[in-house]
Amino acid sequence: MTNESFPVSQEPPEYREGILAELLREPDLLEARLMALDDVPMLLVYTHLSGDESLLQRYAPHVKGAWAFEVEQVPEL
Amino acid sequence: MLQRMCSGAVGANMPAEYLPMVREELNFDQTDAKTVKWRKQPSKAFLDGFLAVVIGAGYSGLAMAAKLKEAGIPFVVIEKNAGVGGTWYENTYPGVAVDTPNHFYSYSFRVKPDWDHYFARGPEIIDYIRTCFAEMGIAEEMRFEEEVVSAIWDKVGQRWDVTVRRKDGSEYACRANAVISGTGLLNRASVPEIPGMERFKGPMFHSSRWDHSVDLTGKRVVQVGTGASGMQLGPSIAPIVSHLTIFQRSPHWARYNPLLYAETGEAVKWGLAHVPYYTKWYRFQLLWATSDLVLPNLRKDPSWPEPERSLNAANEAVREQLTQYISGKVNHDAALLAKIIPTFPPYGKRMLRDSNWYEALTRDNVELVTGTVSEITETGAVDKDGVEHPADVIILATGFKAQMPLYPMHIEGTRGTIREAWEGDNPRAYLGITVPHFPNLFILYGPNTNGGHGGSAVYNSECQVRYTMLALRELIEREAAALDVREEPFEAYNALVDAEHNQLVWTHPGVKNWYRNKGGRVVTNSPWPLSKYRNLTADFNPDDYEIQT
Repeated sequence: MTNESFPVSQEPPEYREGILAELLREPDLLEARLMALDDVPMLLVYTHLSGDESLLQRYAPHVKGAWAFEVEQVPEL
Repeated sequence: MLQRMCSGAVGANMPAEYLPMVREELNFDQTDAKTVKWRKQPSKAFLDGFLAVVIGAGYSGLAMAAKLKEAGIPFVVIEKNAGVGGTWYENTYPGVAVDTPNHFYSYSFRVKPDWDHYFARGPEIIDYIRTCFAEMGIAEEMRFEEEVVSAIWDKVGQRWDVTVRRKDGSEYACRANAVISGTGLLNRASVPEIPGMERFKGPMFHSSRWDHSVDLTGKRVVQVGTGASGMQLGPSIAPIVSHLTIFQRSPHWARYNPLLYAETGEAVKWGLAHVPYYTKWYRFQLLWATSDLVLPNLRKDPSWPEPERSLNAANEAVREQLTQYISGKVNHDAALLAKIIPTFPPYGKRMLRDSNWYEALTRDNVELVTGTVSEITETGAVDKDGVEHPADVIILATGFKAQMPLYPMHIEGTRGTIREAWEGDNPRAYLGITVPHFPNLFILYGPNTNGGHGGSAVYNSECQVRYTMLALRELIEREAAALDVREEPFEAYNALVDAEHNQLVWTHPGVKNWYRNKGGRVVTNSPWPLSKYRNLTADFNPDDYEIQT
């Protein structure tokens, strides 16, 4: 994978205008990218952006520690 | 909701007192909460006549300079080296790397999404610091290859008379309203005085002053010291030297981390650069995992039945886990294990990362010698049993004068020198930053501020920078001449520090470490959770100071 489809910016993504639209322009590539990221930060990102705590409540009991390699794998996540 | 998210992130109940720290770290509104804003605009005339001298252009000094610049407070940075970076400029030994994950060991106000490693090597860190420096716009205030020799408080003029030595040896004087030390604890090399050192015929140098003109290939090398530097250095040179003799005064605990040598890869870099809030939550997880998560493991349980080997049940579990790990790494070699398994509890000395250290000790060309070097001859180093170990090169990985902050500068306040105030190696400061009778002197990464249980020195340093900025704001807005911390809060704070340390592992009688001075007092480490130190330094109480106009 390359970064060509997603322009690099020094600006943190949460402050970049239109970042979500930018990401959603190529959904397949986005999904592939997201699947490669750590589960727990992604769970928090989802909760943060959506305000929906249901997934956090569901999976938080399985989070044993802060680092990905110390976290219990939850298949459905 | 934030507290629930934080608790979910770390798999534990996150106490509410962490929330102010977390809000700052996560920086949701893109404002740097550690930036100090004027409550009333200071007079131009007063500011024009003001000068702060910052000593050192490492992580702390540069953060300080950036904030001074932001506030419009005139300053200069005196840096003895030819470039920025401090510790990372000077330490260039093979294998040099950070052992705190760099996504946390970096400025909160300048997050870098594209680190190549989770634990960056020296060159990657120095590149980051140089980039930050370039963005700070402080080049005009820098004075490279100049060194502060002394700073003497003028009681009448209420200024610091600072003497600076240039590279050519000439000196000049300047007067400053405030002196801010960013020299840290781990800068001045600690070189042991070993009988016969002057006789050695080959190259001999400290790990932090690496002599790159010396090719170690095929050489017989003696390495003295097995601390953080030595543990990175040994495995890095073992494959190329003909023989490596390592002198170990006492062993360390070191733990495995699968990310120590891993590259982050494009996927992680992409996520950090493109997914909103991913970096923030990722960094928050590291903050917790590498610091306050482990602090309870360091606390003595008075009812624990085997206090000589561990402190509590969790500490014992760490001991068992590490012992099992180390044993496997050295193929269960009983003789070697007897040398390298510490007798003291885990965390008694800095918990190191296993940088292939244990595997290196099993190499045919590596020999571990326990005890100190009793003598150096023309051709090698003699151990405590009188055996000479031949050497073409001797490397001193013997650490730093951590108990002597501000060394070797002559700092003289209203009642004497800093060395007198600290009785040599007993440095104390209020919040680790200010010292009675040394007005307008601020110390970054000073006494009892080292994160011995983990965390990031950069985080603590940012807390100290904010506190210093709050103090300077008070001084400047009042158009006052001096702030001098009172004895009472200073003594009370240090009593709290000492009392807390009595409950923690570093005062364990079986531990010898660089955290303690000759009298046994812990002088380098902070006993506090990060959140507590943040809360202690987030406000400035003028009542703690005598304010002189």
